[in-house]
Amino acid sequence: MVDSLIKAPRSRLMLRLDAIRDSHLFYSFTRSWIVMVAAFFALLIVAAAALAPLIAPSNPLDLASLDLMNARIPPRWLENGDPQFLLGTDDQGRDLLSALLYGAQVSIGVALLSTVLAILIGVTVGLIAGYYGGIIDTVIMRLTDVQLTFPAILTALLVNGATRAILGDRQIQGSEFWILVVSIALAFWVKYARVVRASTLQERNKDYVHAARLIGVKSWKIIVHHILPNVLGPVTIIGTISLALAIITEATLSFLGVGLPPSHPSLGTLVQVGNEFLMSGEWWIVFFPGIVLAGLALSVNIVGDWLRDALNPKLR
Amino acid sequence: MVLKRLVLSAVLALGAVSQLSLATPASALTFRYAFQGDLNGLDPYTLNETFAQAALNNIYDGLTRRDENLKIVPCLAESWEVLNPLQWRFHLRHGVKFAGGEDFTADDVLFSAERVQQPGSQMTTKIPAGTKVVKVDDYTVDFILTTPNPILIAEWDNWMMMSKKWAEANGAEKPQAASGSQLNAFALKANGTGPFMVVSHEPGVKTVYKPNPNWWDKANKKFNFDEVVFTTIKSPATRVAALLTGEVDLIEPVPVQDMQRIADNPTTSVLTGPELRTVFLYMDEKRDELLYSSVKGKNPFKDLRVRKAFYEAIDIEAIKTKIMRGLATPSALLIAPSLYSRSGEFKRLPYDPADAKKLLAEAGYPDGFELTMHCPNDRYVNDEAICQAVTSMLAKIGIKATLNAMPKAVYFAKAGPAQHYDVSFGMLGWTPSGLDSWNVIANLAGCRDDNGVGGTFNYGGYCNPKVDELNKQILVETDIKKRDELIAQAYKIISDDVGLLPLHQQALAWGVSKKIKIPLRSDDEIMFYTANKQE
Amino acid sequence: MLAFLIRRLFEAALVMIVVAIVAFTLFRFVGDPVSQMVSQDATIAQREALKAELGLNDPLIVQCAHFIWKSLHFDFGISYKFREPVVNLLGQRMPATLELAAIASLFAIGIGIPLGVYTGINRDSLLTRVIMAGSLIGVSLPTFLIGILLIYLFAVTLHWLPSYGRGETTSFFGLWQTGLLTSGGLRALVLPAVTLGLFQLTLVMRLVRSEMMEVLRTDYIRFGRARGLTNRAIYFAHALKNTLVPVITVIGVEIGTLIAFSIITETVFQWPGMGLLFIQSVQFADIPIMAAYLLLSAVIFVTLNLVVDILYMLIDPRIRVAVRA
Repeated sequence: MVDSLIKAPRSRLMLRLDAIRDSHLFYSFTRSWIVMVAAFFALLIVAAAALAPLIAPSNPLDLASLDLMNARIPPRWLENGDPQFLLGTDDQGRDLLSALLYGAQVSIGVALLSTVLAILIGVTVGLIAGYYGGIIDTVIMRLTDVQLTFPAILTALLVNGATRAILGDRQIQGSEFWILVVSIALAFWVKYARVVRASTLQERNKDYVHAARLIGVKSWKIIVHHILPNVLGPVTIIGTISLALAIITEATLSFLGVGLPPSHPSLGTLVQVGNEFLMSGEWWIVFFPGIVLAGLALSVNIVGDWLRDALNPKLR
Repeated sequence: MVLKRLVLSAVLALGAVSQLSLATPASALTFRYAFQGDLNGLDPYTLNETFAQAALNNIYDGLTRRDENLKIVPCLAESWEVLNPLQWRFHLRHGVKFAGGEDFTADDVLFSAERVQQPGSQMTTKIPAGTKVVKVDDYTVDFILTTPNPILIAEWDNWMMMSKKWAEANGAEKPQAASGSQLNAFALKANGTGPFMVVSHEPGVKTVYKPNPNWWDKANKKFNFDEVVFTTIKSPATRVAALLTGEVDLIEPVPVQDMQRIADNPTTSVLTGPELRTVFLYMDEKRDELLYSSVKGKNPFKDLRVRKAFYEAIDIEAIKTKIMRGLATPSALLIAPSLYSRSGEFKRLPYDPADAKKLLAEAGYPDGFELTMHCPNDRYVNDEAICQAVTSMLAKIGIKATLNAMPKAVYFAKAGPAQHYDVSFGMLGWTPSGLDSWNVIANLAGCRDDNGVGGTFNYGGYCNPKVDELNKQILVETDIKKRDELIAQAYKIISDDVGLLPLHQQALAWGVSKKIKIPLRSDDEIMFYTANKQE
Repeated sequence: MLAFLIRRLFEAALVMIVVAIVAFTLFRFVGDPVSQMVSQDATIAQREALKAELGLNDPLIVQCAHFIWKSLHFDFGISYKFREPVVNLLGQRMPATLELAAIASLFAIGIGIPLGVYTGINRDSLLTRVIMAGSLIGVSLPTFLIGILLIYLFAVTLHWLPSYGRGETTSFFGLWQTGLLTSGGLRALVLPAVTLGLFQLTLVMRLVRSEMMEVLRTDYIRFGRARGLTNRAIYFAHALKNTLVPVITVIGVEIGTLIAFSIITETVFQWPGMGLLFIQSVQFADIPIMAAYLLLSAVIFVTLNLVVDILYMLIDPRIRVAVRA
């Protein structure tokens, strides 16, 4: 009892901290049109990314279609632009628009999958810890303490490096995508575990759960049917907001050299590669991926924000 | 109230910072240069790396040195003679003092010869195995060899003379061992006979030098600054920015994409020249089945037609103009033209994707095959971009090559003997220390076993016993003309076998402030004692 | 009270041991230090000898126990790369990172609190909307892109501020190199501190803002208004004061995050701190440095968390009572 009291205010603070760190409040009437624009923009990018194979002028993953002699052509409306390449080409002669569409697909894929995986891990662990309590709870919470010792980016770096080392070079071929998903998920699951544990603790002590237990309902049934629905609200909100963070984390890992390879670029890789050309006048190679990346993260943030406020009546 | 105070203090702080910016810089003339990598330690025998050797060559001298045109000229040895093919005699310079004040004598040569062979030294090959070093008098030393060696002194500019007395007084008789808590005095301090001495050394951050008051060659002093500051700046963009803003006087390497900007900037310019390093591709020709390929049960690279097809698929001119922006010299050989007089006789195979496809079909791969290519991504100029371009060129003849680019630290471990050449197709660059063909043929084209005995850097395992036989003769042949003929024969065999795929010599580029006059050396060594700064 | 303290200390120690094991095990496999250290022409035998000398052939458990035992004595071994004791290297680099983190926090607090107060009071003004939108853009860009943009703008284009490094530093007894006493050092701090502090600035601002809004809704503020207190008295004497406790606590915890995030900032600005050392050693598979860095950051975080726990116990009467009972 003493322990849970001591824990309570701290985790309350932590929750608030996390909520605020990941969220961006927008109020009343400002929200409406900004949220609409953001949602529209986010949907646009997601749709374009999903339809990339259909709408992209070329397939940037098909190496045979690249011609090095087309390298570094500026966007179409500039001097020396080529009508074939609307947004210009990169240093390998890749059509930038196509690379952007395919890159967005990869980025969104990594962000979505890693968030889903993080939720799966976090919710499972949180439910178990919160429902069973005792030694299981203590062990799990101490483990999350350990994990919280490392900021997400450091954890992701570590997991990434370790996975690569364990898999060995040969299995890495083509699995960079999944390595990224796993390392980002493992960096972010703790948040969900803590939230779900806290909610579960509350729910567990409510009368209906006691009653269910008394009449012999199985533990997993109580968890799935009664407790889970009650903890999903906060999880959804954190999940939406974490998407933006996952997108940025992917880009940062690429910047540090452990993301997706340039032959199969994500938005982060495109920014990283283009970065080298920032000072040499070929600004478009970094500008367009940068804008799309920032715009995507921004609009997902805004939508997540709105969702949070909409579902949290206290702040209205 | 609090708000006002906070805003006020923020404004004040900003004001203070901008005012401070008007303060004048220190008056001493300082030469500042930045490199992408670190200076790892100050012991001249622990790291065989071009950059570190150059940095230390400003502090230490060898018995010989190489002038701006890389010609071997006397240094701490005033002269030498070959008494007979197995006995070389060196006459040491008189009146040379180390920075610490000790006289330089034959004892120091003997000590250095002994120390360079100790465990922990990466320079053991500077002196051939079995060589006896004999002190004739205080200023005369004999080297007695077991076999004739016409290129004995070719690498001696980087065999630096250390003070016996100082080393013994500081407990640094042996090179820094890899582990153990005992720290070697030479790792953090330096005591040489060269033009500069080290004031402070923060590993991985910066190193500060000042002129050595005891330097023996002050009569030929060219530099005019009172201090040299070396800084590591890894990020290419930051390095370029530091040069453009005048925070440093020289940067190396210059990202090729930023050369124009540096050249256009009124206060900076780019020095370019051919570099001695040759960049090439290798193919695993040794294994019976490739480690990284869709072809099972046989090794396509054992077929000359496949190797030739790979060669013909590479559009070297496109790589030169688009990726290297003109700053590369396509090469038909594994050695730079300036290092071998008969280089002009060799021509590259033409770029011919149609013929390449035909050759592949003849070899039994009409639809090509899959393969992984391994490359470093932080070693050579635009290494990863070149490898990417190669994969897309190969795609055009049906070869689906997947690129796996990695930091050099990981790459060289994997592709080299440490992991038994765990690659099928990849990139390497080579500058022969000694600047001679023998080194190239021995290291890159000599037969080897799986552990690297033999041609250690022959990552692909190309092997033709005739080449090994020729190289044995090259080592001991003292007649230049005959020797060049033997070298030509060896290169002819390697080229006809398409044993390796030479790409180019990358151009050397230093970004410099216009205040600095410094000769560009094609061995890429920044000798700041040859520089001069106008304020 | 004492029992609580001992218990928390014990838990902290446990966390540290787990971190030590994790750090050691992970890093043991990331790179191959041997091929970094031997010469290009080294034979297999020489490599094996070096491996044995480094203790890389011992059973993992032995290597790990050895490692923890030595870490407790601040002996993290000698860096494979720099050939210097790791504790010296970290000691050299730590001032750079701590100064950067401190200035970045000051920047975040000094600007974040006023902005938070303003936007908390004027909930719907145009300026508030601009500030909120601007801060959102700031946190939606990856740190490295912000850094490069700042360099491009303020160093390359405008020539106002240096683009890399710490500038001139002054030494305190040879122990602490500070950049805070010279104009060059201070100017060099501006861009990296802004890049690093931007995220925390947003965090502080939003925290102050939401706390302000919450406090302003409470009964006792309403009561204060009813009593006829001026707005200024309400905002600053009562509301802001109430928000400061959580803000200070948060900043305490966030300093740890700043130190970790400095990995990216230091890489962009070539800031010679621990983060840069860490990235350099990752690339070199310099196991001793990496392990020591991880342990160090874990120590910093665990300590900060411990302090926050204790602070909370001292502040919140409910806990005091519970502990006494």
